[in-house]
Amino acid sequence: MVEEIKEILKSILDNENISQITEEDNLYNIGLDSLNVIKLIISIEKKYNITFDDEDIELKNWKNINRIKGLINKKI
Amino acid sequence: MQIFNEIYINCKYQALMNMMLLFNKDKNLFLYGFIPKYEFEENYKVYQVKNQMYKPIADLLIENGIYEEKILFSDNILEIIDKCRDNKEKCLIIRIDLYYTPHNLNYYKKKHYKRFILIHNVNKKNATILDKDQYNNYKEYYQIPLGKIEKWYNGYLNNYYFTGIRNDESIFIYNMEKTNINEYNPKELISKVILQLKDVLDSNLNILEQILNKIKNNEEFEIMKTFEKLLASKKVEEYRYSILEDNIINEHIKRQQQIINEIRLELLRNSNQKKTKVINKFSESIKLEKEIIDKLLYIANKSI
Repeated sequence: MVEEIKEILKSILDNENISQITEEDNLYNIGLDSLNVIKLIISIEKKYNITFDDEDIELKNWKNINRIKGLINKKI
Repeated sequence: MQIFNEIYINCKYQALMNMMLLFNKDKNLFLYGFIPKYEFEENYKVYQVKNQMYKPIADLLIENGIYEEKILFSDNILEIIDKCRDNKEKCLIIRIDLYYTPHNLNYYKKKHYKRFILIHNVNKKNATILDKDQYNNYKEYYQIPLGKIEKWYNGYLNNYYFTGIRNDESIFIYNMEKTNINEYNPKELISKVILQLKDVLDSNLNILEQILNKIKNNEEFEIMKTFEKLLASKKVEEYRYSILEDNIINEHIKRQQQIINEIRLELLRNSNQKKTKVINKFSESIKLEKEIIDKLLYIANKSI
């Protein structure tokens, strides 16, 4: 799942260095922001065929790959 | 130099705020000195957010001992840059085309994009520039050959100015003549601006209602771009009004940002109830906007 999330991040942030980040690295320090986080969320929803609730899409929930994994696992 | 990266307004304001830091002046004058003004751009069918300053930027700068010289364009930018040579009290802000800038990997030889950059620390051969990195943070790039800056600027002229896409000033020279910093009370300044530009706040509310009606009536417009611009503006507002230390305003603006992101997500989903959800959420945001304006006016009237 981590590699899948990284592939999605790579396409959104257009950053080849994504493969080197850890699961705890702050994504908002490497180009994620409140504008493109929506692209990330919709890509994850489509990839895993899930729908997040409104409270799930708060920015703090998408801070790192670990948190994203937790959100996805809650929905699967 | 200290660099401002906490929020992003637009490239011109970013360059201006960093220019103030370069001269050890208060960058927040630009942050507190304007409020957003929503306008519909008919050609592009999108709602834009302009910055309505309470007084002209040049006047604000003069009050702080900085003189601004504006130039429409130049066919010899090196001559202009040379005016700042070996002079710590001078710098420039110019427009460039990112297509020609190797440090902008998303644009270099890929797409044309105009941006203002700050140039300082000019010597005979090179200069320091301030521009975004790949993570959208501003940073300094040192010892950039003047010939390269000339190429970037001429690229802007060829692709934007001479094609008629832009016809406004592309060069701003700043000269600091006084080093003293004017003291002011930020809350009083914001209050003055709010009272002076109260009509803009009312007009913004009407625009938001207009957007809501367009959605209800299925009228076509660039809805995603509009909400992106509103979101960016709300982030700036959150930063600006944090100085007022009012919980209601802070929480409402944060909630508006969350709502806008919920709306943006809803618009991208294939859902039967998309329109209803968007209308309900945006209606909530408009109600919050009314409360924010009422609170701002209350605080402003109390402080004057």
